[in-house]
Amino acid sequence: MKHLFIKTFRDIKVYWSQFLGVFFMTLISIGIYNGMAVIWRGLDISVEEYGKECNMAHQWIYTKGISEEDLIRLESDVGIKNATYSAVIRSEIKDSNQYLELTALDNDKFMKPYVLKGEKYNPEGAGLWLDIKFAETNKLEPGDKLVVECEGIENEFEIKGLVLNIEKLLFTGSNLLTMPDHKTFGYAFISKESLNKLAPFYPYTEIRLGADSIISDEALESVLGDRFLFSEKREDMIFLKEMERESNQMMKMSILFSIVFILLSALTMYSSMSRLVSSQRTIIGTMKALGIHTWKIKIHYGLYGFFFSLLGSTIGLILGPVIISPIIVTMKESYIILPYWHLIRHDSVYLIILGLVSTCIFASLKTTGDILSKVPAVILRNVSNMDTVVKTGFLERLGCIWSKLPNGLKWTLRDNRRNKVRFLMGIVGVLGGMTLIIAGLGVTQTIEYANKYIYKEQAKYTHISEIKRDSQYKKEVFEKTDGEKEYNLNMPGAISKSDKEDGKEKTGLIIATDNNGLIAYKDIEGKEIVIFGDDVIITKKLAEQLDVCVGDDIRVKIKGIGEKTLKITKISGNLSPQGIIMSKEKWEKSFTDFMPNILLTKNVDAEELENNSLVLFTTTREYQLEQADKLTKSVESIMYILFLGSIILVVTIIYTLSTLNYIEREREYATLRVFGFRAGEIRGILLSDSVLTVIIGWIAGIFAASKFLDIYIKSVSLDSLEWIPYLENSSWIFATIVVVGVSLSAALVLSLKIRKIDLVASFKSVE
Amino acid sequence: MKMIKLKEVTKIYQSGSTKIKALNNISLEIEKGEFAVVLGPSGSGKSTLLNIIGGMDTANSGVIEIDGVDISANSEAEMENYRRNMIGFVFQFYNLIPSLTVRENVDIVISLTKNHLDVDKIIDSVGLGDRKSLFPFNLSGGELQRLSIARAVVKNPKILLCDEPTGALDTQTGIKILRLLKDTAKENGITLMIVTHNSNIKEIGDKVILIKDGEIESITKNTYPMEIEKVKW
Repeated sequence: MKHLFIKTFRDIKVYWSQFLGVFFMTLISIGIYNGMAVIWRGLDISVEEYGKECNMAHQWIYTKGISEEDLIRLESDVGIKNATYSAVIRSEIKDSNQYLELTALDNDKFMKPYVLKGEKYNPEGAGLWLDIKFAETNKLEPGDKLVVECEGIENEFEIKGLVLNIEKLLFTGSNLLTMPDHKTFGYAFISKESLNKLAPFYPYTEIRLGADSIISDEALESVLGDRFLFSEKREDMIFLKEMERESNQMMKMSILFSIVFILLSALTMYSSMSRLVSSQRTIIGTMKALGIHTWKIKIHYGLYGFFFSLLGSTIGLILGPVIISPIIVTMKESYIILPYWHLIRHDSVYLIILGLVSTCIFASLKTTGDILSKVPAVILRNVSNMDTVVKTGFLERLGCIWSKLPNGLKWTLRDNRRNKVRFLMGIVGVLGGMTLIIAGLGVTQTIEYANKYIYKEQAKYTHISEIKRDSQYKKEVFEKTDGEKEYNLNMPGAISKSDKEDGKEKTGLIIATDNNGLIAYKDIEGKEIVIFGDDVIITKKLAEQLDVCVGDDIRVKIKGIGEKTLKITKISGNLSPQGIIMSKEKWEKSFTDFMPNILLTKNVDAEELENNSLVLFTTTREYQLEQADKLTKSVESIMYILFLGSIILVVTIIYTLSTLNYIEREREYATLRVFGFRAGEIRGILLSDSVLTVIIGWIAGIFAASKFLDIYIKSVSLDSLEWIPYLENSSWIFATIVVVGVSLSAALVLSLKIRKIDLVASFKSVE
Repeated sequence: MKMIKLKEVTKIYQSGSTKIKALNNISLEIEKGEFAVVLGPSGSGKSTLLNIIGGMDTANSGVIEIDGVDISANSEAEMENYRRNMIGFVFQFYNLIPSLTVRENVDIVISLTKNHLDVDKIIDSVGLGDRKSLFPFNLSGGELQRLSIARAVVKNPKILLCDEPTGALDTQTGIKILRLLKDTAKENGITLMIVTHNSNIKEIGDKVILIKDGEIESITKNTYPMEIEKVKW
């Protein structure tokens, strides 16, 4: 055995180039998987750790205001002893179009700002602890002073420290924005005393509780009455759910892609190992003839697969987090605000390595076993392949067609029938390549298409404004402003199928609108929907998720407002937001007064709109599209990495399979050359073989890629919008050029070897 | 008329720093239509000689004249044409294409020359007329070699080179193959050259070239070659 080990390591030195395919495949597969896995695993752990450091609450209670009497009763009647009370107001920085959300805390037991610079947070101290992102963008430092204005009252604050707030992981400043705008929006912590200076008598409105003092809504309602709005537990908090979704999305992306990557890698490894072990046929025969145990010979060749796959996997394991992760994390950090993002290995990567290494060892053992199953004399004789059984295929039975085929093609077709595994591997290689490239391009194009559709087809407004909701329907306030207007009330709600008690509940947006056509609602066939009377429209994706259709009843629950059963009258094909749309009349009939919080406008004087005291923030449709595209870039960064990996994979697998094919036929090509076939003529035969594999693989690849893209889009898409798989024709052409080009180039490169076939050496093993 | 004329042909193989002289100053002549047997032990250089005459390998020095044309300085393309038009090869282990039927294995080479013989007639003549649609795996060793001969002859080559054509066959089958080779060559006016280490075969050739250690030990002419059926080994 000792000598076999020595042979293994000497062979490795000699044949290392033949193992490059195996090495790179395992490296890329594990590198990409681990590079992405450390991010989603790291995100989970980082958020958890960040939460602990910030004393994150376990229950959030939202109210219209908590009086002194309430505080006493909450302690005596409900038993709230340990809690953090907070008040939140929106303010502006004087003489700028910059907004600060100010939070005053009575203590930091269940909400502790994460201080990155400056003084430690003091809930009773003077001054202001400012959002570090806002500070950095606006070049503010501890010690600087800010004049903050709220409802006409001004106050100057000194910046005491720069902080992050765990509850603002996805802080954008406005519901109208999808990406942070740190130039315009920020947040800060101040003391209650400071808040009182800006908003006298403004009460605490929120309560945060720890894990050991969760209070029921009934108990809270008994104390607070109608001042109680709703409460949420940690598992329901949107910012945490969003982090979970981000992590899941990356996990799904890496797993789905990795499955294809790993399958193709396994295929390449299988081919490479088979090729190498077959080339050692005479040595294997000699070893068996010498009486070396077959298990020892198998172990010897199994070590080839083991060594290179383990080496590739180990380097992939190390390089993935060093090369791939930083690119993705940088993109993700543009909208996920964390003080740190640990990169933590997920144990699943070891399972994948085990799978890859096992495949390699299996390939080596299988090929060696196949050879060893024969007696040494037969192995050593290596009588080319005259004993190969060839069966008649279906096409051959159609004599009239078959007889017209050239002998070269007949040879190829019969060879493929004979070497079904190799032929299938070739097809799967081309198919896999098409699938990976199409999926890589498709995801980004689908998202870009969705963005364009949402902000160009659906949205007909030029400006969108957040308006104050705490007043009556102020239509008259805006009447002086010229242009088209549409008032919307957008509220998040929980929607479920009403006849199913245990049915799925989905979160969506409940929109009540006076429908002036500034958002185009279309049915699933693309025809415009007019919303009137008792219309209740559900968006298509949500309808599919809840398994409801027109005529079904759904239960709509809006926190702080109420719960109602509504009958679906229409289904809309709008991509975003997903939810329920109804007329303002229906809203009023079903829930409460129509108090819009969104104003859509077209052809208005933007300045006049911004100066309106009821307008909180105004942005344009173009800016929204720009922001959505920025968000898309974070997904694109992952897709580009996968896309690059796909191309390397396609090149390696196709070249390896073509080489295997060529090696198996080399003696036959040499025979033809001896008979005087020119290199070009043999090249034609070789190419016809590749063309056949490529055509079948390409056709199958088109179907597989479409299906994979569909599954992929569904698995990575969000609940809040629908992504419809979309791919430009140019991408199909591009993928075809890459895959077909690589395949034919590999065949061409190999065909160059035909001219260099050493005719004497080719027959040597025979003699 | 000389079909093959070699003058002072030398072939040296280099393996690392070791030089092996496979052929050393070989000179010989074979007449058109003659049946030559090249005899020698393993490693004597007989296959190298066959490869050089067949245009599969080149010599380091010397002149190789085939049908009056010096091929020793041929380019690769010229060598391809030479093999295409002049040479038929029969290998010890047949080197047939397993995915092609008997007929197709012969048919595939007829595109090489306009002057080819009729495929079916050749297959009939080697005794495989009723096996045309079978694949190599259906055939016995003797049949495989018959097919190999048919494939070599169908091009209507001027020289038929056979490398140990009976090496993988039993005596009776071997004799039948030798008979077939001799008859086919005679029938088609082909110069036949058989390379073997089987000294029993020497009696049947018109000319016997004995090679040892890369050098010609003797060239003898059999005025009365032995009947093939009398050969024993």
